[in-house]
Amino acid sequence: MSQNSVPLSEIKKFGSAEILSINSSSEEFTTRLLELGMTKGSKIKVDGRAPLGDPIMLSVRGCRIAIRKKDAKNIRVIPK
Amino acid sequence: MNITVALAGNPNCGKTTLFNNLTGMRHHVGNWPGKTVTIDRKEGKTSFEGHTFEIIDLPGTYSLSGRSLEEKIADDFIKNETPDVIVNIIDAVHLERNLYLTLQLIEVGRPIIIALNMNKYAEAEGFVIDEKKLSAMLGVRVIKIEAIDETGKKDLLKAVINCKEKPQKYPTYGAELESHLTELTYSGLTRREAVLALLNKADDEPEKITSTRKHLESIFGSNIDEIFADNRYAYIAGVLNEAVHTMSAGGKNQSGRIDKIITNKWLGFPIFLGIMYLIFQAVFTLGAPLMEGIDFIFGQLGEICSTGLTTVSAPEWMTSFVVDGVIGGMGSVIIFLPNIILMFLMLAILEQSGYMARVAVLMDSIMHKLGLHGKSFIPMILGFGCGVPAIMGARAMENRRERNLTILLTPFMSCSARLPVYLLLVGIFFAPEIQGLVMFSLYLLGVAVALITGFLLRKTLFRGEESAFVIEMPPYRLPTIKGVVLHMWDNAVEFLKRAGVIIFPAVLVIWLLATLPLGVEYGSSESIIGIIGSAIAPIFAPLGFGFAEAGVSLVMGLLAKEVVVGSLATLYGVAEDGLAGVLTGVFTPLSAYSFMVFVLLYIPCFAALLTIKKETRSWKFTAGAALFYCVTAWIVSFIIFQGGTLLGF
Repeated sequence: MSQNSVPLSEIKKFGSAEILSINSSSEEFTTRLLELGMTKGSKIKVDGRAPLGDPIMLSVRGCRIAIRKKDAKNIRVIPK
Repeated sequence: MNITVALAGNPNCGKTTLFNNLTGMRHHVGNWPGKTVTIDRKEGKTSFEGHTFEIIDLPGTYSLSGRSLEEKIADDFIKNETPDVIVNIIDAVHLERNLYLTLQLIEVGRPIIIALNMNKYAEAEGFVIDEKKLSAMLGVRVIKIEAIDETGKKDLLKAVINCKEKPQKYPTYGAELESHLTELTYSGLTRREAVLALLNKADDEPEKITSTRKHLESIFGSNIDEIFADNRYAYIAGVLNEAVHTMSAGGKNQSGRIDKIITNKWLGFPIFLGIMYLIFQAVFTLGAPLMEGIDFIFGQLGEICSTGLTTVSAPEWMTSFVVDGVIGGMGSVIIFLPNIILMFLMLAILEQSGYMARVAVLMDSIMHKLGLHGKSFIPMILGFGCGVPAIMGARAMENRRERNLTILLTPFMSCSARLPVYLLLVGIFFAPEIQGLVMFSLYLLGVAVALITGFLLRKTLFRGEESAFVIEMPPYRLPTIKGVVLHMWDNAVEFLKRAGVIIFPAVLVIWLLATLPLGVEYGSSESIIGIIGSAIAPIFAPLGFGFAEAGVSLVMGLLAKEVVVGSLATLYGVAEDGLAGVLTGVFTPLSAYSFMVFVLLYIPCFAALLTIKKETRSWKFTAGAALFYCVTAWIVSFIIFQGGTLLGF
C-alpha cells in the first residue's frame, strides 16, 4: 500500500484522487464499482455530499455516482 | 420478413425513448417466461421497407454479469431467445462507461449494431465522436441517432435489415489474459463461455478453469473481477483515444450546476418537499374542472337513460340497475381519471428529468438509519401512482432481502386508486381550508408507516447484512413530450381497462347481492350483502366504523380501492352527490379519518397482490404480506380512533 494513500471518504469537496484499491468485504459492491469504471488508477473527483453529509457524490470516467461514507472508507486513493 | 430486435443498453441511455419512437402506440407489456424469472416484457412492432420488426425493450443494465435481476433478464433473453439483431444504444455523453456493456454484448457473438444516441449533448460537453473510427475499432456498425426525434432512425432500421453477420472481431485484452483465453477456447469453449467461466466461480467447474483463474490472480496480484474490469477499460481507453476528439477542456456541465442547488445542504430537503407539495397541488387543482365535466356528462347520461327507460315503460328495477348500478357505479370511478392521469404525468416528469435519482441520494441517509436503502425510495414514490409498476420497480435492487422488503412496503404508499375514497370523505367531513392538509397527512402517514414497519422488520424478519449503496446520478434532461404523454396514455388505458374489467363486474355483483334474495329492501340487513356486512362489522367497531356498509365496501375494495366509493354509493342506493347526506349520519370526522387510514393501509388490491406473487415467486410471502397489511391497518386505525376519542375529537 502506498504511503500517501488515504480513504476516499477523506477527500474534501472538489478534491481529486486516483483509485489505488477497493477493499470492501462485499463482492457485489466491488464489482458494481468496477463496472462503473472505478478501476485501479482511474481518476475521481468528489463533487460534494448529500444534505445530511452522506452519501458522497463523485465523478468517475465522466459519470456521476453516489456512494455511502462507510463504503468510501474501504476505498484507498492517492490524492492529486 | 420478420426480424426480432433486442434493445440493450445502460440505464438512462435513451433506450425506452427509442423504443417508444420506433413502436409508437403499437406496444404492449407481454408475459415472458424467462429461465430464471417470469417477468413482464415490453415489446412492440414497427415496419419499414417491407420488413416487420419485433422489438423487445430489455431492462437497462451496466453489465451482463447476471448479478441483479435486471441483468439476469437481459442476459437470459439474449442467450435463450436469440434475437436476430441486438441494438446496443449508447449514450454518447457517457461513451466510456457505456462501452463496458458493449464489449460484453459483442462477446455474446450475435449480430449487433450500435445506436449512438445524444450526440448533441456530447458536442455541447465538448467532444466529437468519429463513428467510422469507432465502428472500425469495435468491428460493429455504428449509427448516429437521436432517440427523441427522427435523426438516424431510417439508417438504423436499414442497418438492422442488413445486419446478418456476427461482430467482425472480439475485444482484445492484454497479452497475458489473451493467451489464457485462447487456450481455453481450444478446449472447446466459446470466447464468451471462457470469459464467463473465469468470472463466475462455480463449485463444479473444471479443474482447468480453477487453475487458470488462480494463475491469473497471482500474476496480476488482484482478483479476477478486477483483472477483467481493468483489461476491459484499458481496451476502451484505446478505442476512445482513436475515435473521440475533445474540442475544449470540460463542457458546460449544467447538471453539476443544477446539483449544487438540488443537493445543497440547506436547500435539498426544502426543494424536495416543495416539489412533492406542488405535485399534489397540481394534481388536485388542475383536476377539479375536468372532474366537473365528467360528472356533468355522467349526470346527463343518467337522465337520458332514465327518461328513455321510463318511456319504454321498463320495470323499475331495470331503471335502477342501469342508472344507479351501471352509470352511477362507473361514473363514480371514472370521475377520478383526471387526477390519476395528472399524477402519472407528474411522476413521469420526475422520472425522466433525472430528479428521482437525486431523491434516492437525498433520502439514503435517513433510509440507511432505518436499515433501508435510498434506492427503496424510488419504488415508493412510484407507488403514489400505482402499486403494480412500483412493485416491479424494486427489481433495480440487487439484494434479494432488501428487494423483498421494498416490495412489501411499497403498497403503503397511497396509490391513485385510494384518492377517490379520500376525495369523497375529506370533501364531506373536513372544512375546505384544511382539506388539502388532511389529504397530505394521509400520504405522509403511509410513508411513516412504511418506514416504521420497515425498520421493525429489518430488525426482525428481514435481518441481515445491508448491501452497499451505489447509485448513478444521470444528467438532468428535459422530459420529452412524447415520452411523458405515452407514459400517461398507457396508464390511463390501464385505469380504464381496470374500470371496465374489475370495477364494472364488481358493481354488478354488489348490486345483485344487495338486491337478493328477491323482495328485500335494496341493501338492507336482510339482503345477502347486509348479512355478510353485519357478520364482519364487529371487527371494525373498535375503529369507529362497525356498520355493515363499511365492512362490505372494504371487502369489495379488495378488487380495487376505487370500488370502495362505488360500492358505498350502490349500497346506500344513492348517487355520488347524495352520499354526503347518508354518510354524515354514520361517520364522524374522526371515524371517517380512521376509515381512510384503514383504506390506505389494508390489502392494496388483488392486482398488487398478484404482482407481489409474481415478483417474489412465493405464495407464502404473498399471504404473509396480505396478513401483514390487514393487521397493520387495524392497529393504526385503532390507535387513531381510540387516541382521537380520548383526546376528545
